[in-house]
Formats: sequence, C-alpha cells, structure tokens
Amino acid sequence: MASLAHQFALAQPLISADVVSASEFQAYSSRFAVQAVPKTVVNGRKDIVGGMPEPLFVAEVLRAAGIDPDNPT
Amino acid sequence: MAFLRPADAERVRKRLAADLDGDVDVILFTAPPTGLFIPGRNESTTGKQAEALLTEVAGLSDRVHLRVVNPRTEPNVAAEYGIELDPAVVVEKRGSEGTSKAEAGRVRMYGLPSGYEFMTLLDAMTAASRPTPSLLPDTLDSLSRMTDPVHIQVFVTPT
Repeated sequence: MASLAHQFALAQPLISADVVSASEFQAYSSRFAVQAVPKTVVNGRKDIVGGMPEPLFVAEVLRAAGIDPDNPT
Repeated sequence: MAFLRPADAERVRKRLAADLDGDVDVILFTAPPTGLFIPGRNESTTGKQAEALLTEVAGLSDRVHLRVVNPRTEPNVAAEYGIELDPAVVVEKRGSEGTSKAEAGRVRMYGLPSGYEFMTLLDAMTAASRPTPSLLPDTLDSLSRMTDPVHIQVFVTPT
C-alpha cells in the first residue's frame, strides 16, 4: 500500500502520499484510530485496513475524491 | 556506526545502479534536539539516525542527492512541502524542487525509514527517477479523472 500510494502521487499531482511510522508517532496515529497496520486513511476519512490490489485501491481513492469509479465520464 | 552491513550496502548500491533512471532528491526534514522540554512539542528521537542512514544511501549512488532541512530555521521550506512530523523524508525527481507540485504530488515518509520501510524508500526513489509510473493503464486513466486534492496516509510499523 505504501509504495502504491507513492506511485499514485507521482502519477497525479493532486495526490500527496504519506507513509507514517505508527510506532514512532503514536499520538499522531491515534488521531486516526490506527489500531492495526497497514492502515490507509484517505482525506482523513476513508479507512482501509490491510492490503488491497491496485484496481480496488485506486477505486477507493476516487470515491474519496467524490468520483464514482464505476461511472467513467 | 554504519547502518548498512557491507553486504547490504553492496546490494543497495547494485539496486540503485540498476533501477534509477535519473537523479532524485531526497530531502530530510529534521530539527536537531535542543534537550529542552517544551510542552506540546516533541523532539525527534530518530532524526539523527535518519540523517546517518540517508547519508550512507546517498553515498552509494551519484544519482541520489541528499539535502537536510531544519524545519525550525527553514519553516517556509517545511511548509512548502507540507511537513507535519519530524523526521520527514521527501523523495522527488531531481530538478522538480519548487515546481514538483505541477509535475507530481508529494511523496513523504514520516519516521526512520528502517526495516521494511527501507524498501519503501528505495521503491519511492526508483519510481521518482522514472519518466513514467509503473502503474496499470486503467489506474492511470482513473487517476487522470481527479479534479480535487487527495491526501493518502498509510500507517505502517517498521519490522
């Protein structure tokens, strides 16, 4: 998920991708209710726990951006 | 003390030589410890280690350019890169400094990039050095539909 998120950011200037060491920044991580890793948070809201294949991950990112991934325009 | 054992350093040197298509900037944001307790501010405990590790990595390839920024004395640079935590590592294609927002989004890592996250760092450097992303064509199509900023945070634990 970490490298995929970075690649999304390199491909799309509108994306910023952070990889956060949850054990080093426990207070920061607790703000996002991180209890298991990897955990991915998109726009501070959408939570994804665990890994996810690239097509599903990009669909989640689109949803978080308010775009329907199943309805290409 | 070296972070990388000689055999590991040789592996990293070979990987960087094989994988980097161009030059990359690795920018470490960390403030030296003051030894003072200031409520509400946490001093970095791994910033010095991160600097030592990244200095070793930069010494393994002419294509890796390390810059260390103290966010306390250069807050404008830290703000430009959206830095929230210390230490932070930003990876970008060489020459995109200051203009990278137009060409690529921000690629950041918070914390000491050790253990499995060391591989994430090498992956980020590889990806940033390449002219085109190694993503599926459908993924690139999907990403091109975006019109608003998106912030992705992946929380990990070094192993």
